[in-house]
Amino acid sequence: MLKYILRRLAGAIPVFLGVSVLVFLMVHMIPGDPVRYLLGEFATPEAEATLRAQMGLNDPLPLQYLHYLSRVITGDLGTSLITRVSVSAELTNRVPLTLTLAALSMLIGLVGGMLAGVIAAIRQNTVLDYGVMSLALIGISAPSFWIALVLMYVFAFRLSLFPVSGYSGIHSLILPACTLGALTAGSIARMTRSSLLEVLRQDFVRTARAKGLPQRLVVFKHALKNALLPVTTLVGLQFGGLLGGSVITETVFALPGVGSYAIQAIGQRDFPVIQSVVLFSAVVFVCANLAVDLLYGYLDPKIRYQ
Amino acid sequence: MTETMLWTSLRRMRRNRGAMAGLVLLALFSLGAILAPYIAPYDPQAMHYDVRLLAPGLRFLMGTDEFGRDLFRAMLHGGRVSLLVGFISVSISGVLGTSLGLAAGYFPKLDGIVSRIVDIWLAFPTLLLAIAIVAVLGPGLRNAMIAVGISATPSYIRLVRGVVLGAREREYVEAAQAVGARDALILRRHILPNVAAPIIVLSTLQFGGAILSAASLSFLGLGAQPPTPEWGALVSAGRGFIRQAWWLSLFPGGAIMLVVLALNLLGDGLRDALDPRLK
Repeated sequence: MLKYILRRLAGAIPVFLGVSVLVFLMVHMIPGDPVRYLLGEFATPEAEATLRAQMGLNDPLPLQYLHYLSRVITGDLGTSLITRVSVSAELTNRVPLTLTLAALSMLIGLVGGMLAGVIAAIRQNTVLDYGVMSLALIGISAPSFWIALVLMYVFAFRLSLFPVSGYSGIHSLILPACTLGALTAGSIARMTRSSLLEVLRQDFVRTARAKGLPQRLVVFKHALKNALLPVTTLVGLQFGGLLGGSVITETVFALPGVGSYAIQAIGQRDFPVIQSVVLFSAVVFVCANLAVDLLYGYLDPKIRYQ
Repeated sequence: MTETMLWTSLRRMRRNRGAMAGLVLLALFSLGAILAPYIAPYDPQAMHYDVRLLAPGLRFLMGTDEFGRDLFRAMLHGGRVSLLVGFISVSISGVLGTSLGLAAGYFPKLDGIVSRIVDIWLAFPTLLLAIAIVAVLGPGLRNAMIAVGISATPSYIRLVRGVVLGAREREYVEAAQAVGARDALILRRHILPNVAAPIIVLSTLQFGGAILSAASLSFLGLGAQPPTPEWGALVSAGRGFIRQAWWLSLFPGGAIMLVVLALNLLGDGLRDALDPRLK
């Protein structure tokens, strides 16, 4: 197991480096002169020269990258071009909200999705199965900004159960988390159902049934454990969807998280901020998938020896 | 896969009610998109202040917006944009991903490097990658399509690479190599047909994904710019009036959901019919 962990961790290092190179290159990939782009057409030559020096654009590219990397590793993400506030400080303020939102959405998605998947599987080809699976299909097909607006209209405007927007405690996160959780729940429900149906056809399940175990035990103790393995991988992948989706939900519900920070920054061409948010999301996403991989290796010994 | 096999599989799909419903729904939306300029000429600049923010009714099926513009008309034209944008985006990822996947699967020397690149590519959450690319290239419909296309490419690379790796070991490929056929010919004649069925399935599902991503970018103001009536942009425009005029956000968003749902149903059906092993 230790060898497996080390191998997986070592495998992530080139990915992190690759991510940092791409994020670093973002500014250089702006078509035309990045400084001209950032300042607009009517900037004075002095302002352009200052920004060029401030961004270190006069150094050769590899040297610029090394500077960037060493700064990022020590936690210095630069300062916002607009507000002059340290990006790390701003991110530190905003990250907890986004991660709480992601965790809450994942919880809703996991519980709702697994429950729906199990119900659909044990009631296969009944009205209940079709109903639950139709809901799951809507969950993966509906745009999240639309779900957000529908929930906002019904539960915030009409029923006044939740705040419309802004952050004033955990209850502000319920509607956004349901929005994001819908997509996750949909995919997890579909995966749980098909995986459970496959397991329920296997010999050991027939054995369990033959020895007279009640349905409840067969499904939850014998079958579900095996059926949930493929679902584990999905959880890591869904985390990426949650990070991307948080940009939308945070914008719709006006939450001061990482996602709304990014959108605000794009409107202002505030590249240090954009770069940092992209870097942050990629790092969190890779770590989440790494954690899932390790968990998978722990749960399924076959994986460790590949 | 030979042509007869393809037809047998597709005939099998006719019994799949979900897939058929998806196909009908998709045909309806496509018809609306194609016929839009003929049945409902639309001028986004034409405003009618006497019919502002009217609720859906007999005169305006889906109501009107704050400038008195008919939402149903905007929806028909928005469908043209949304479907086309999804199609172009998915074509970009399809062509790019299939070429890279073929190269990685067929040439062992390229496999290592392509797989490394894919690992890094996949490190970015899809929508965030698209947002980052638009941030670099600048907002707009064309850049949004490029961004969505690039961000969805890795799934094609992975799929095609896997299929090619399997096909390369087959006797007929070995035989072709033995008689001295060139790689380009082998790839085109003997490998590509294996990839066709899985690519059809993936493209159907990715088409929906691309429509969703592009609509999300437009909703965030990074894709279609007003007055272009793209569905995501329409939802975004209606958002400010959600209290007084729910229809402005409900209908365009609902249309996106229905189209993506149709594509998902069709994709699931195609997958079951063409390649039951694909999950």
